[in-house]
Amino acid sequence: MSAPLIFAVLFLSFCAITILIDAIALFRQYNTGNRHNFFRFIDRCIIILSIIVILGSLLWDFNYLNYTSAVEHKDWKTITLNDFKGLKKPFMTLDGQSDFAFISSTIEVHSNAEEIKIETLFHPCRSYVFNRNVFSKELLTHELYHFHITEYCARLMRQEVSENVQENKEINMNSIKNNFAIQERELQYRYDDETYHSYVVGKQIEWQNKIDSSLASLKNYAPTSISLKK
Amino acid sequence: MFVAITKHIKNTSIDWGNVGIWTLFSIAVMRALSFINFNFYLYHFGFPGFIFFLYLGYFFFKTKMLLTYADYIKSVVLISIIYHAVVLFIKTYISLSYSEGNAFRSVVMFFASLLLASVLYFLIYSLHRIYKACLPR
Repeated sequence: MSAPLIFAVLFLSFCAITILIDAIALFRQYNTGNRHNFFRFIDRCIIILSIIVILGSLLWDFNYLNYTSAVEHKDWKTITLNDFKGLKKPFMTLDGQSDFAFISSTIEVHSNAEEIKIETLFHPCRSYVFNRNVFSKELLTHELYHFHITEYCARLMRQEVSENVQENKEINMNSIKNNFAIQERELQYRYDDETYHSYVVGKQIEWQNKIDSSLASLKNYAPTSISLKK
Repeated sequence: MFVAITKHIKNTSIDWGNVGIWTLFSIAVMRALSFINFNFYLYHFGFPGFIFFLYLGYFFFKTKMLLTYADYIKSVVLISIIYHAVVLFIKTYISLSYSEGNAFRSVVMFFASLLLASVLYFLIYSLHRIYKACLPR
């Protein structure tokens, strides 16, 4: 039995048992005729059920039951489709197809008085494959290039920050971060759209070459830390 | 104006504990509904207002009294603001629900839910008046 199905069955069973216990208890409370206690009990049931539903639904955003820490871009070669530990939403398909995956990658910025650190991270607990029986090399390559696109934007960001530091300009990290987040999102959408999630092989190779050469042209900005010391 | 219309309803005063519970419940219901591929507009602009209406019904059964419009709208505004604040907090600081919404959509959702909740309130209010009028004196 696949992991998502186990989670779904456990989650639903837990909800059903809670509702059953609530219903029995409610029936007994109601029979006693104490209206105040009856509604106090309903309130408690609503609280418990709401917490269960919220915690359960969060699993599909972030699989905290199978937590694995984020992977930095420099370790991208170690990533396999087995690292995609997130759960896809039940019955979810992409244009009716289920031979796809989803990778979650982010740019994280940490700064202190001495340096600014701009990292590209892959989040295993938020990344998932639509169908675990379809583990292909092409699918992994396509997803990894999403990660490379994020790294490309991170390098552009590092370049801009470095130039600002050298020119002694004021650095507005929030504005820079937002600008590159928009640019990254557009690139990611365009990549998926043009390659149709790796189905258009010619376009996929074209994009791979383009991203590889872009990363190579910015290899000076591969180190994640930017020193603020003059 | 609405307060004047409903002034004959006895002051029931808001049960703030219930507001808290229903905020939690609203978040849970919206999260659960997000798993089902509903129509975009129905999900974002229909369900929140309907949940607030359920809150009115629950309060009615609990106290055997209809909330005044002023109290009802106060509760709805509070639940709605806390709901959107929680969603924004989750999105910004915990980076979950990354695909959901933006500030503009939240504002539109807020006013849409207020509008729908008000419409449903006055529908029930009218039925309540008819029911009261039909009762033997």
